Amino acid sequence: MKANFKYNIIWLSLMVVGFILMNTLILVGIIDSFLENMLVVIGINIILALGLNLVVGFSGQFSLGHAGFMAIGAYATAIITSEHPNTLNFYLSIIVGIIIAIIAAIIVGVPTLRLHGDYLAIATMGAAEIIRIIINNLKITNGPSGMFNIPKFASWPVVYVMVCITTIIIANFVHSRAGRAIKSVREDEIAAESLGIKTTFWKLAAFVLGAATAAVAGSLDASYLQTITPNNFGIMESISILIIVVLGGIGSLTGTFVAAIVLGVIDTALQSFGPLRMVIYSLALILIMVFKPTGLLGRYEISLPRIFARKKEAKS
Amino acid sequence: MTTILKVDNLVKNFGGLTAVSNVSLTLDNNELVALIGPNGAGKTTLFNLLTGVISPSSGAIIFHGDNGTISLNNKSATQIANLGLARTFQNIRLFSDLSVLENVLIALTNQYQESFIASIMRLPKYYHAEQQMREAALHLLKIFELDQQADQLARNLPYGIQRRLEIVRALATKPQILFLDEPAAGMNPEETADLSDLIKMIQRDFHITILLIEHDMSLVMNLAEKIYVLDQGSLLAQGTPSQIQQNSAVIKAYLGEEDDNAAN
Amino acid sequence: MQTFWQQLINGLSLGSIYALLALGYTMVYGIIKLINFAHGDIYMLGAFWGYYSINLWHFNFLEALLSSMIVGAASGVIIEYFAYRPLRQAPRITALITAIGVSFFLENGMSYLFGSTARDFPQVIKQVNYNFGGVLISNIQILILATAAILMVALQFIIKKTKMGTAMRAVSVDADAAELVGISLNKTISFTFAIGSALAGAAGVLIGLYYNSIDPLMGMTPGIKAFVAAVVGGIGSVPGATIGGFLIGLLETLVQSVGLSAYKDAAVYLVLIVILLILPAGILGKNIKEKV
Repeated sequence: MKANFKYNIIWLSLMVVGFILMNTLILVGIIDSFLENMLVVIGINIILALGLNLVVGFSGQFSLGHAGFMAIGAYATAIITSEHPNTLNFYLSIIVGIIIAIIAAIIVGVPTLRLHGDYLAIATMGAAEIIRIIINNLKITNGPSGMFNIPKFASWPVVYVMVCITTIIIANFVHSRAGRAIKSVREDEIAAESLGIKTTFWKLAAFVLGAATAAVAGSLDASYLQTITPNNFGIMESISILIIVVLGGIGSLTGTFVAAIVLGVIDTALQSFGPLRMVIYSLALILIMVFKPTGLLGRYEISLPRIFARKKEAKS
Repeated sequence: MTTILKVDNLVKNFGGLTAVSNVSLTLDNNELVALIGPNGAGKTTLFNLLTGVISPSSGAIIFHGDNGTISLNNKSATQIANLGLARTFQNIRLFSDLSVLENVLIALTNQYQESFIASIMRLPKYYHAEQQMREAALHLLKIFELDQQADQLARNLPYGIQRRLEIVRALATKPQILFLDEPAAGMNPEETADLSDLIKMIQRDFHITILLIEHDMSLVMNLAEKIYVLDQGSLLAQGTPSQIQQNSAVIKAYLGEEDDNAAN
Repeated sequence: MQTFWQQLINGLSLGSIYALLALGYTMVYGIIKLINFAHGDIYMLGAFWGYYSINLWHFNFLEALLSSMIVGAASGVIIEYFAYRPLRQAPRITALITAIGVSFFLENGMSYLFGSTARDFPQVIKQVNYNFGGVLISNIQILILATAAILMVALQFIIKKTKMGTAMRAVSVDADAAELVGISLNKTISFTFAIGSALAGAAGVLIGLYYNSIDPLMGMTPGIKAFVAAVVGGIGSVPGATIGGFLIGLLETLVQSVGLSAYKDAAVYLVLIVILLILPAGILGKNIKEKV
């Protein structure tokens, strides 16, 4: 009991220290607006990829429709805060986005999660495209031209806190009874059923939680960038989130962090290369996959109990 | 003795092929029953029918469990498991990338409450439930001498130990009936003897009914109180081990000709 | 009735191009279970090859078509050799991400080399419209349908009647067993990529003629649609890919003709989901249940 409390306090302190550190670096000007922008984008990508990793890496359900749920959050925030711009409404819009994304995830998930592997991937991709096309044709979303001058409520502290909250929720979920049930579905669905695991329910639970976090990321994205169009949430967006998950290591939350940061930094560093940027990026992607097929970290996960156990061993 | 499972005229057709044809059998409380028959006789298909992996074409499966009499005909595998019927698989189906402990913990999923809020906020309730589940799982692992390997990945265990873990995992669901699909397959005589003791111990200490499919006749004759013989989808014979050993139809099915010492 | 026939013709023309692309997807998937995301980009390469060979070397239609098939086949084989072969034992999702990487590489590499603006495809064949009782059919539409039909028959012949075709079918059923009886896995997979990519190269020239406009990103959307067509038809099934391609082409023109062109892609995806829910392995796919 006490040990558990200790680990929680350590994690919490790390998050606070990180926050103070970043704040100081911004105040003294080491992190300029350019770097701050990079950090925010990395943060939003971490939220997206953590949610997708829960679905793809832990429950083993291959979804290619993450951007659809992101679009729901983005438009919820864009519409609500454009109408009545105040902080309370910003947070309210996040909640509205989450609720709509959950409903959409249930509507999409209940029928399609019966499918397996690539068939599920292509069906979820189709569902996300349908969401995008609907947004593309609605009046309230301003159709294909998208929405601009969205009020900016998502500063980097907001994004930082949201990254922490999402990480806490997903990491704790994975290390609970629910997380084990979800992993059993990934490992062997038939064996899981033979133990009385309600596989459909747990698959849907992971899918819905993933969709909810995607909606949060969408809200932050819309509010930080202040401009969104339906085309931002197409298949390519879903794919780029999947790339972070696979590159980091499927089923490793630590890997997701590493991959989001590495890709964010590479992307920023390559900006001076102009049109060659994407050529180098795609070559890097192919090379990493060919030489490190299980991703940068495989299934490695940072664990405080393990680190402490190792220290003790080293001492004695 | 009271009946716990009654199978009545069960039929399963796959297209034109009848894999199980008019099979009737009964399992009594705390009985140890063996199901034998040549390869392709329909034994595993019968297991799959009883555990809801596939559904029967016709016939009835009636379970007289602790919660009354229930028809299992249209129940899913998950529902049947939750009613108290657990199984192992012919080709071991462990959660191979998870630890030994996690394999057992997963089987405890439905026995403990742990709310979403409590687990993501790490409330005391979460730690309490986790602690209880851990203790229950380790207790079970200790009985089967697997507690030392609790943190190993299931895939890294030796073959015989994997089979044992699969049985422990099934037992963790607190079943009233345990179905074992060829538990001795691939084992050497020594391991088979250990397994035999293990199964007897389970029957005695866990007070459950066991139905096992097995090709190893020494194990079957040593363990079973009642034997059903399946051949080409139909029931060929039933009786005590000594009755089955004398049964000419059984001997014929196994060897194709009469031979007095065939089944020994 | 007249509009119906007109839309049918338009739908079949578009559908035959989807079908040619879908065949490549389905063959590759059938043999190594990989969604070859770069397949649509090979079609783009075929279109660019056609563009340059006609403009610079004054190839005629047939020369452009055949040479673009060779170029397509060569690029397919090269991509498989460098990007996919090292990953044959890796997790399937890794190979998928690599395929996406190859797709990005081809799209952006071509944009970098040739610019990203759209260009007019040379009219190597002068368009002539024939009027059949009010239904307009262009000679290009006839050419597309005829070429597609000939290629599909040729493909069916290769798969069913040749030694290599038998090897392909064997590998797609059980690669290990095929290797045990002496089939070279590498050769067969290379051959599959060659055939599938040659069809994509041909489709590239045909679409250039039909739509008159090509650009480095032209493979993206038709690529995904063609994959949808392959899944709808039952991935791994050659006749299924043909049926799926025509179905998607017809559906798109139908939705467009009733004035809902904004929703034509949504209709395609909706049909995809509905078909998968009723037939989880597509129209002609085999539903393989896991053995317990």
